[in-house]
Order: sequence, then structure tokens, then C-alpha cells
Amino acid sequence: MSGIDLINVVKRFGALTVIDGVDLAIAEGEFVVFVGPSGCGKSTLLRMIAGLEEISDGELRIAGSRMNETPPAKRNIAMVFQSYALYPHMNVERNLGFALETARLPAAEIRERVTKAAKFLKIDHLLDRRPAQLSGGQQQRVAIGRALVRQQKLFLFDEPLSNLDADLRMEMRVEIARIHREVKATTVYVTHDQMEAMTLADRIVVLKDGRIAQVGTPMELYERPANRFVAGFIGSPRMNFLPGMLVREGEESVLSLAGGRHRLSAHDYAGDVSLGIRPEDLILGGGDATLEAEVLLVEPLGGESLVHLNVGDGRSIVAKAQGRPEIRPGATTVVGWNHTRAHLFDKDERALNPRGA
Amino acid sequence: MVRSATGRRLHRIAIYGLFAVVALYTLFPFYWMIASSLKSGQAIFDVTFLPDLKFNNYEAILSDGVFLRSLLNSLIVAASVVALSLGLAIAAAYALGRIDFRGRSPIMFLFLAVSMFPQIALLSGLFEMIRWLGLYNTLGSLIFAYMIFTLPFNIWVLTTFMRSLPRQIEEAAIMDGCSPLRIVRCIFLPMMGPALISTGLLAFIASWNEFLFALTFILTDENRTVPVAIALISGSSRYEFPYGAIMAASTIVTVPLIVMALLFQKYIVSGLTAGAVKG
Ligand SMILES: Nc1ncnc2c1ncn2[C@@H]1O[C@H](COP(=O)(O)OP(=O)(O)OP(=O)(O)O)[C@@H](O)[C@H]1O
Ligand SMILES: [Mg+2]
Repeated sequence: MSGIDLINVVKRFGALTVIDGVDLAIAEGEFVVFVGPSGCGKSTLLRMIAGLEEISDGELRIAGSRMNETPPAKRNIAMVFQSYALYPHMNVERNLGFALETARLPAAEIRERVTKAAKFLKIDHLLDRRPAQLSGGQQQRVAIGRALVRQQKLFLFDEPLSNLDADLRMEMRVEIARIHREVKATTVYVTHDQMEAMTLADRIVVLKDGRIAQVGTPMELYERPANRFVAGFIGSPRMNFLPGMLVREGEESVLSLAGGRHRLSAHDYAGDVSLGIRPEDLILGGGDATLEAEVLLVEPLGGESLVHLNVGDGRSIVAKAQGRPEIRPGATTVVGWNHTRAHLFDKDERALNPRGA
Repeated sequence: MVRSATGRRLHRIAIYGLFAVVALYTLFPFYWMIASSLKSGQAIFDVTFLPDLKFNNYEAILSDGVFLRSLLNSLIVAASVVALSLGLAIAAAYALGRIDFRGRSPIMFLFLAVSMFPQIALLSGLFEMIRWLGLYNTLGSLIFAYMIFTLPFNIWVLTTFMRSLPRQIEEAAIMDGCSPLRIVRCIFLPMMGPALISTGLLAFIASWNEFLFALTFILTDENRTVPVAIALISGSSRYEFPYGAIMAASTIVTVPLIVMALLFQKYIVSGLTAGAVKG
């Protein structure tokens, strides 16, 4: 049992409330990723789990027991920092073994665990080097190795890959996924890279202003965002939003946009809405509902292209098209979508579902 | 910068010229001291720039029991001051640099203010304290007195240095299960090497050279430190002033400092600038 329970957790720095009542249950062995815009409190929440920040209010439980007052060392957590935080005056071997040395394990066992972790991370040829003599990727591996040798049931990562270039990031992402598959430790991982979140997470927690905006599997967040913020945050390029008005007409609801009216199945809500459609769900020249559009720009990305369009009263949206569509900037075209792929949000930005759904 | 060949030569001459002036200005007193110490008897009053290479001043001074005793005293005092003030300053720097508590900056300013008092202003108050502690005419009185000016400076430098060490390294050590003591001992101290060497060396030099307190707090010859002992060296008759012996003694006292400064010069610079830049 090594799950984590956050129960109405609050963090205040003086008068400033940074984490504002977070409830979350993380199951044993689960890989949970915190994402959110800069300053939303991801690191703070992670550091509260680690014990590096005091918990102002609420309760943290690890494996079922209250941990609020437990010092970090006794929480049985291993943590990897964004800046790697290797000890600069120790070689790789001592860096890896330092926690075990602190715990007064026998030298033979330290050596064995260090060797094993170093092999596992393919850094066994670097054991004699100092951190300054390593590349960024190698330093990152040492930092992960330092967490691994402790054989804890709980891993915390705070943006571990953000100092690496794109290639190394991908490589280390795969590596972290492999480690999690083999070690099966409960993992909490902070990032603002969507790709990392989508590929690594069992569940993603989207944070906004110190509150949870939504928790769910990557596909849940992508397919059924609970609010406009999550809809805009997950997915790249961002979801397109068009303002509109939803009116009940008998057994149907009618959505009026700047460029046309569309009949939908009945919604309980009526009033101002925004319609959200992902670029990949927009269809050039077709769909259940269509709008007139003027082509602004076509950006070819190789296998696919991004088409920037002007619709309605001069609002610009982006559509993703396969290959390279035969249209030129300045031309007028028709852009459409299928109702099942469209998202509606009420004026409080909550997702709307048809009656009965 | 691009320069013509003559321009470059002039530039180089100017640099070396300036260097020569500075070197002459700073090194001449030392040269004069060493040269004088190597002259014997009346020769010292002739203005010659080349030494005679006579070592009888050194023989005299090194067979003087009181002088040797004062050398040992100075060594004991300076070493104790370095050890004590570094030990206390490290503990204080950890508290001031790494732990958030109310009143931290007033304390820092107090240290700065204390280190700016003129020595003479402290003398009578300090004298009372030393009498009261029963330290009068012991080496302990000097160790106690010298900490007053070495400690604030050491704390100041080590605190700024400790603040500049990355927070995440400390947090990594905390996650690795280290106690504060182990963090300081195994993580911070090795990373602070240069700052420790430079502050330690400066404390050593200050204690080694100090005169006023050493004159005031010590009564008897066997407890004197070197600067006072040199000042009190007297000739065979009251009409003879033993310049030669004084110069020889001064040379003997200066050499260890120069050797240490040369040995550690790399660390002194990096230690002081590390504190200075981040201040
Ligand atoms: N020690 C502190 N004192 C006061 N405010 C703090 C402190 N630490 C963090 N904050 C504030 O708390 C908020 C959340 O910070 P946090 O570091 O958790 O953000 P984050 O989500 O990790 O952002 P980023 O993606 O930029 O790392 C920020 O507004 C920050 O200014
Ligand atoms: Mg952060």
C-alpha cells in the first residue's frame, strides 16, 4: 500500500493562497502527472507531498497514514529535481550511494545497489566522473539513479526533462516510462509539456490557480474536457472557440453563431455559450455543420498542414488537414465539423452535454 | 582590439612600466626589511641597497628564548582564533543563510556594525570583560578579543556564500535523509572550501599581526605574542637600538604569512569574489 491521499489540502504563503483546497486520491503504482500554466502551484503541491513545504490546512496521507507532520526523510519518498541537484564535489558513484550511506547501509550492499542502478540506467561507465564532467542527459540519469537506488515506493519528479533538448527529452521520456513499467513505484510527475503528460500519465491532473480543474486519463481529458480551461489547455494546437447563443426550440436546441444557425439535440441550458472544436476535428469543405471561411495562411508541417481561417465576424480559427490542401490564402472555402466532435461550454465555462447524455 | 605593431609594443611597455611602479611601491619595504636583517652591527646605518648576507641577527634572535616563546604563543592564538571563529561562523552562517526566522536581517546588520567599531573604542570595555572572566594575562584573553573582529567578518562572508549555494541541492540532501548537521558537514563544507580557506586565512593574518590588544591584555613576557615581543626587543645597552634584530624577527614572522598566501592564493580570490558578487 503506497497510495497518496490529498484531503482538502491548502497552502498559504502569508496572505497569499497558492493551493486552494485540493482533493485527490492517487492509487498505488499509478503514474499521475500534474500540468497547468506557470505559477498555478504544481511545484508547491509536489513539494507538500515531499515534505519540503508545510501543509497549511487539510491532510496528506501516504499509505493510509497522516503525514502532515512527518519529516521528508521519513516519508519514504525519492525525488528528482529540475536542476538535477547533484552533489558537485562527489563522483557519480558517491552521488548514487549517498542516501544509502546516510542510512548506514553496509558498504557491500551500497555497492551492489549502485552498480545495479547504474547498469539499469546505462551510466555504469561514468561512475568515477564528477557531475561537471557529464552531459545534461547523463546528469539527468544520475539524478534518476539517485532516486532509484533508494528503492522507495514513491517517486516525485519536478519538471525533470525541461533542461534537455528535444531529442534527449524524447529519449528520457521513454526511459522514464520504462522505469515506471519495471519498478512500478507510485509516481507524481510535474511538467508543462503536454506530450510528456499525454504519453506518461495514467491520469492527468490539470491545475489552475491552485485548484484542480479536472482529473482524468489523457483520453478523457482530450475527449471530454470538463471545462473550457482544460479544453484549451490539453491538445496542440489549441482548441478553437467560437462565441454563440443556445436557444431551446421544442425538442431541439438551436446554436446560433456569427456565420449560421445549427440544430442540435436538446440541451437543458439556454443562453450564451462558446463552441469548441479541435483543429483536427475541423473538416475543410464538409461536416454536419458548416461555416463560410476565408483562408488566411497555410502552414505545411510535412505529413499535415495547419490552415488558418477567418470565419464569421473576423474570428480566426485553425484547422488541421492531411497532406497539403489545394487552397491559397485569400480564397473562400467552407469549413465544417461533426456534432459528436464539438464541445459546448456555458457562460461559466463548464462543459454542456445534451439532455440525457 | 586591433593595433599596429608599434602601438602594441608601446602598449606592452606601458603595462610593464606600470607594473614595475606598483611592484616597487609595494615590495620595497619588504625588501628593505630583509636587506637590513642581513646586515650586521653598524652597517645597518649605511644606505646600501645590497644586503651583506650576514646571518648574525638571525642567530641572535633565534637563540632568544623569549622570542621563540612568543612565536609559539602567536601560533597558538592565531590557530585557535581560526578554528573557533570558523566553527562558530559556519554554524551561524547556516542559520542566517538557510533558515527563515524573524530578526535575521537586524542580526546581519548588527554583525556589520560591530565589525566597523574602531578597535580602540572597544579596549576599555573589553578589558573589564577579560578581567571579569579571569583571562587577564593569558592567551585566552587574546583569543577572546580577536574573535570580536574575526567572527563578524567570517559570518558575513560565509553567510553570503552559503546563500549562493543552490537550494535544490540542500533539498535533495534532505530527501536523501540527511540531518542539518550532515548537510553542513558533507554537502556545504566541501562546496564552501574556497570561502573557508580565505576567511580562515584572513582571520589568521589579523590575529597574527594584532598589536594593540596584545599589548594591553598581556602583562608578562612569557605570554606575549610576536608583534609586541618584537616591539619590546632591546639592545645590549639602553643606548643601542637593535634594528638588525628587529628586522630579522620581522622577516621570520612575515615569511609564514607569505608562504600561506601563495599556497592558497587561488582560493582566496575565488572565495572572496564568490561572497562579493552574490552579496
Ligand atoms: N516561498 C514562497 N513564498 C511566496 N510565494 C511563493 C513561494 N513559493 C511559491 N510561491 C508562489 O506560489 C505560486 C505557485 O508556485 P509554484 O512554484 O508551485 O508554481 P508552478 O506551478 O510550479 O509554476 P512553474 O510551472 O513556473 O514551475 C506562485 O505564484 C509563486 O509565486
Ligand atoms: Mg514549478
